[in-house]
Amino acid sequence: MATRQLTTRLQRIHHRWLERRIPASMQHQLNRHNLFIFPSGFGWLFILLCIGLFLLGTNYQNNLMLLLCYFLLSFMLVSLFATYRNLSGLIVSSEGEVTVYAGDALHLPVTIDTKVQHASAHGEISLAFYRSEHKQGLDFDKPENKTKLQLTFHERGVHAMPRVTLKSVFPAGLFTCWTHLAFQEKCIVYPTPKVCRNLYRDASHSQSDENMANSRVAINKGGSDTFFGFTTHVAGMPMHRIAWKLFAKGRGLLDKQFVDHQDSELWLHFQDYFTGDAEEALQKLCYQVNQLNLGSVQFGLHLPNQRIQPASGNAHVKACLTALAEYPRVP
Amino acid sequence: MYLKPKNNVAIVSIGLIFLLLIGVLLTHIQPWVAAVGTLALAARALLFRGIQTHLPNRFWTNVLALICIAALALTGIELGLLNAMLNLLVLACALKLLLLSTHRDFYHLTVSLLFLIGCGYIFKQDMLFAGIYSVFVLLVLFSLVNLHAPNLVQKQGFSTVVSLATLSIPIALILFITLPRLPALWKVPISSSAQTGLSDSLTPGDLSSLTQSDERVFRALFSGAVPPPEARYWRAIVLEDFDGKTWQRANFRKRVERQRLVSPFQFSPAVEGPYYTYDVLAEPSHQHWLYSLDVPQVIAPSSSAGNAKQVWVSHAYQLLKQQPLVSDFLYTLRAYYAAPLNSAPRNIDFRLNTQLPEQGNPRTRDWVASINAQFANKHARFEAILAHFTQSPFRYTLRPPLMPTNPVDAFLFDEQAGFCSHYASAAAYAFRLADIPARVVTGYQGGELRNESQLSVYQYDAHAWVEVWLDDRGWQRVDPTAIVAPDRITRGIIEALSEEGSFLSEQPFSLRRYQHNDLLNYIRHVFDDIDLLWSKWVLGFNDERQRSLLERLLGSLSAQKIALFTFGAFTLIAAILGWYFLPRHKRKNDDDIQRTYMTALALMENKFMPKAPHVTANKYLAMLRDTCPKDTYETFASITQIWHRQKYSGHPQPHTTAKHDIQRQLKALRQQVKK
Repeated sequence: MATRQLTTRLQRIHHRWLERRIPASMQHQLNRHNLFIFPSGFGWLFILLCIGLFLLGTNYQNNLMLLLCYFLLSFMLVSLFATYRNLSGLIVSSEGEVTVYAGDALHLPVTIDTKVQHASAHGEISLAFYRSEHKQGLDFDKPENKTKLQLTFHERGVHAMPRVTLKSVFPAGLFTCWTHLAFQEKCIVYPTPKVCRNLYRDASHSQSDENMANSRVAINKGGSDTFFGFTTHVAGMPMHRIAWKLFAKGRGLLDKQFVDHQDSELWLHFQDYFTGDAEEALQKLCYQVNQLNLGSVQFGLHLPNQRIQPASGNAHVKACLTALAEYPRVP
Repeated sequence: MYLKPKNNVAIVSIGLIFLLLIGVLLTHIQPWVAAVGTLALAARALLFRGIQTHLPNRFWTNVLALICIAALALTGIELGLLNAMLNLLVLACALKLLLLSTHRDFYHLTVSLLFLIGCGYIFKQDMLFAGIYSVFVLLVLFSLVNLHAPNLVQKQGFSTVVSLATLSIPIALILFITLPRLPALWKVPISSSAQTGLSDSLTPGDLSSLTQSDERVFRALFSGAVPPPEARYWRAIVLEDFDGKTWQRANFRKRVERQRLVSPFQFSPAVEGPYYTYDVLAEPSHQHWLYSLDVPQVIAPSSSAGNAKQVWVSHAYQLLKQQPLVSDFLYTLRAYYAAPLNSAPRNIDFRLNTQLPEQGNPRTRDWVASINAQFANKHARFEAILAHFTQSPFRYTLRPPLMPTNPVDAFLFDEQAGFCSHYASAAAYAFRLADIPARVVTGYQGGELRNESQLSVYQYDAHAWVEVWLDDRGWQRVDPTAIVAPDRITRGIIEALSEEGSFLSEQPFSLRRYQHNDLLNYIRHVFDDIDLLWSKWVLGFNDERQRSLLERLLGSLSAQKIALFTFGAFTLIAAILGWYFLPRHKRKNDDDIQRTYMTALALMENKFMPKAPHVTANKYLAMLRDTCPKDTYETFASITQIWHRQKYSGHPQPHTTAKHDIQRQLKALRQQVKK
């Protein structure tokens, strides 16, 4: 118990030290501020070998054995610098937003620019999230210098983005040269969308809660007027309303929906989806936000702690989803 | 991390090194161990060719390992510790090779192989083997680089290794020269398979195999006069125990030697008179004895604190080394050639050297008994025995008939043919029967004089002679071989055997056989000289040499100077590393061309008209068209063109060609502008 506490504490200290040493940035140039180097397991074995050769060489008073020992030691010393130099100067960058739905895999793209280096980098490196077992290999002797790291969050919320560990033992495996890079500080994990019926409110009626039932927008199932959005196809619905184009894109069977009036603003209300489990409500809301995003309708989001005015567009959707992700967890 | 098909080059190269190592070490490892190694390689090769698809089962490999270790334990008792370790290492490599599936396995194999290469230096230290092993080391390092960069072009992989190694070598040399050299930390196990040269027992006929070997035993470098051929008796071992057939070292002597370090009783022979001073550079024999001319006095290694009593003179005037002679060893001696050998305790010498076997050789007994009856005086008996050798038709030959029973009888009266070991053995026995203390000394006689001061002694110079104690002068050398075959002593074994043709008859390719061919002899001597430098400066580099080198560099040694020197050495290492690794401003390839263009532009601006910043190069050129002479214009136009093409076009010429062109044009432009 005590040891575990100690380790977590040490880890926290290490983490804080890393925060100061290598702050988050979209792009890092590797240099002596962010590279660490230490003999690998093989390096220690090699030192043991040198000690063995020294003892044997001294006992046999054999100069060639001593020379071999000194040569191997010098080689190790030189390879310390070579290992460092192989990575130093590289520019490691990762572009793009880091948002993901809970349970989905996050793919963090990592690009390494080798052209800026004084000497060209060689050999294999491994990339992985900090303390993760899933390693991605990258070979500098191949033209491809990009890779994607995969990560899955199982709970919505704002998570600290794990650092990316980059490791290389080139040329001889005697030293490990590594770095823990942070590209983003946080990762926003949206709730997993949960398929549900839509319960939109018209903006004009949204003030009064009493006639909640009436105020729900009458979705024209008949299919006239303005296109409004999509809903999941249910067996029995007319085939002609299936959005085949989206189906072709692999998004599943969706029905096109149409509304009578064009100018109305829709509201998604937390209470409408709340049936006792806040998480479930958030998941449903997440689904609905995505649904509405497919159309061109302006919609607002009403959460107990936050109100987002009706709007449309990617930035708006993002704001809504972020609000859902950040909604305080009910204990 | 698991090894993948892309790591095949690394695996193949490490397998290759293992195969070559087995080949080089073949004489020192057990045949079955070599077989296991080869089989493991074959299994790997099959796997590699795709004929076999599975690695051997880990369980069965472990069973195999247990069997191998059991077998090694059973045979290992006779092998000795060193050979057992060597065999074990080879076995470990073989089994690791069978199981090779992860990076970790690969690392273990690498370390074992490097250690094996290091052990190889115990057995062979000449330049050829040092070169072979260096190549092996480089190959091991290459396979390591290849493991971590499987897609690196192999040529580039080699150049990576070579450049890292080139950088390591000076650092290693600095360490080699500056690091203090420790004396041996504990007694090392010696390898019976590595032992060469004389052994501590002598049966008539024994030395004939040595006479077929042209391996060098040692070099003697005289400062001043070199003793004449008939005085070049290099004493190595004194044999005082005879059983009727074989001469051996006396157990009493061995015991005294073992207890020498704890006993307060030390022997230092009294020496006086003229002497020769010489260095001996001995090749490894994995034995304890060294070679010396009588009467030796050790000058170096001095008995200073570090290497106290490394080399010492025994009661039998034998020169011995505390640690076995496992690597090239340099020592300095004085030979007081006129001093008598009589300072060892006389009663012990007499007791040991009058001992006789109970039975055997009846005819010799009878013969000496008759001499004893005839002469009471020991000198007279001595002369009578020697007279037998001069008067009978003895023959000096390396191919004597076998004399299995009563060898002395058979030799003295029946066959009367043999070489030094027969003569020495028989004579010493006869002297003892005549009540004259006598013993057999083995060593080397002669040596090839390379120049005024250097003697090389080879295995075929092996010799045995007799020492007798007749009067107060102490032990005196008697060489019955010299009586029978004086050529052997004065002109060497080659001349002595010139008629028989048995010299090195088993080594048809030995350069030594062809020493009458001037060219081959010259080549042999060149190799010899290189080898001497190698032995002297690399193999024989010891703490004394280190000190004298430092003294030569620094003058007299003080603690301050040594500290400064060490500091300097480390600064030098840092400088080597810094020179290579510090980021240097990379000179861009187009810099030269840019600079040339700018120079040309400045010339034109000075002479004709300045170029406004907004005017492009081509526009400026067009403006010049009317203002400057035609040849100058054309030269500058081509400079502009080259510069433009290299800098802006998508298809530049090779840099060196463009640079050459543009600089030639600039030269022309300079002359044209000057006009």
